[in-house]
Amino acid sequence: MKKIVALLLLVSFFFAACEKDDICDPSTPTTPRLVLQFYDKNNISLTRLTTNLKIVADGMEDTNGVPNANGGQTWNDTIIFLPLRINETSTRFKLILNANDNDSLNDITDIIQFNYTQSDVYISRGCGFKTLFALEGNPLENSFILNDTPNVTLGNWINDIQVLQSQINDENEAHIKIFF
Amino acid sequence: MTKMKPISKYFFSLYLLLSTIATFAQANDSVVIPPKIERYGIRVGADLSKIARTIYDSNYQGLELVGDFRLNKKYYFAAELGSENKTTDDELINFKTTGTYIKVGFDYNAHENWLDLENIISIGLRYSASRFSQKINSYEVYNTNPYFGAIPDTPSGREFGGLSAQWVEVVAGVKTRVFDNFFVGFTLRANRLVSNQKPVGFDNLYIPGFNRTYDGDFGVGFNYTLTYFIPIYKKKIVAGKKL
Repeated sequence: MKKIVALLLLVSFFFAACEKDDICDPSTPTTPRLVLQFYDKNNISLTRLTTNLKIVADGMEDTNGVPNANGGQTWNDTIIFLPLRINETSTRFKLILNANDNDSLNDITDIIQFNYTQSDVYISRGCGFKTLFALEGNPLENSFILNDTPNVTLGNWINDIQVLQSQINDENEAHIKIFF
Repeated sequence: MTKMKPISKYFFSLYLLLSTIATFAQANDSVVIPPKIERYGIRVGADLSKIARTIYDSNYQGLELVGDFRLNKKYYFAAELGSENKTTDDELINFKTTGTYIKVGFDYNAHENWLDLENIISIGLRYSASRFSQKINSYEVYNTNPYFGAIPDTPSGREFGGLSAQWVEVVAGVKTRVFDNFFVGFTLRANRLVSNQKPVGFDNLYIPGFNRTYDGDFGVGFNYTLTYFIPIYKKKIVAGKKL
């Protein structure tokens, strides 16, 4: 009888040892966003703050921009994060500089389309799968197209675009460098 | 000799009376006790809970055959043989596990039976092994930035075959004879993985026989068995003599 009590204790320890594994820990890297970093065209080693940059994806209303870290519609930052469409192989964004101020005349828009292939990778029971992207996944396609003109890197306000990292596996480092 | 006080006199007579009864009862017992006969044999049956679940749960098909063989007064060789086919519909992943398993070990009966009762309260150990395959039916991509709205589940169909796992089970169980040679039993099991061959690009979230896996190596299980006892020989236990 004592042995059985000891066993029941052991069983309860087993239960206590089981960790909650069906909730996704927010610190777990899941589907990454595309990370864009902005640099000064006149001093290419310096990062530059965007001024009221509003980004709207194709097919979305102009009032529905990609939200910044605080949920706002415009980005005043040197780094921005763009979610890519998971179930398609390209995503087009309108990048509107000087948006959301009273002066609509100074709004300048460039359109960038990112082309990629995606692969779904298992994470865990609680987090399911994440989608990773590879720019230039298709060799016949450019990894990005500015203003619908292939092989052009000079836009209306964008001066140059460089791909730093074509594998988008996490959000730790910038994937794309933009000079303006 | 000093004269006895009345109160001690009373106790003395009570003592005398009780000791007489005790001697009388003892003398009687040694005559009445019949020799205890213990039956040895094989018990075979099935886990009713898996059969029941197969009937009411359309995502589950399972069968577990159980058996034990009495080695001596306290120890039983015990084994389970099973097959499971289970579709697990988790919040993010829907997958199917198909496979078979075997568990071999012993049970130790910690219960001392009266007369011809054959109840068992046991603890035991099993070494278990399973061979199985996993198939992902569909999954959801985890996305913390739902700018484009919710994404429908992605159908998959990816299959991972030839997987295996081994584990040790600590078994606590009870068995009781219900009628004739039929026994009903219940066991609770604490499992610990020894080896777990995980598929590349997925995980063994369910292992036949082991059940659901957790982040660590531990798992739990149970069964509810109906078994039939086939007697092979009998052993006479002489009263008062312990084996």
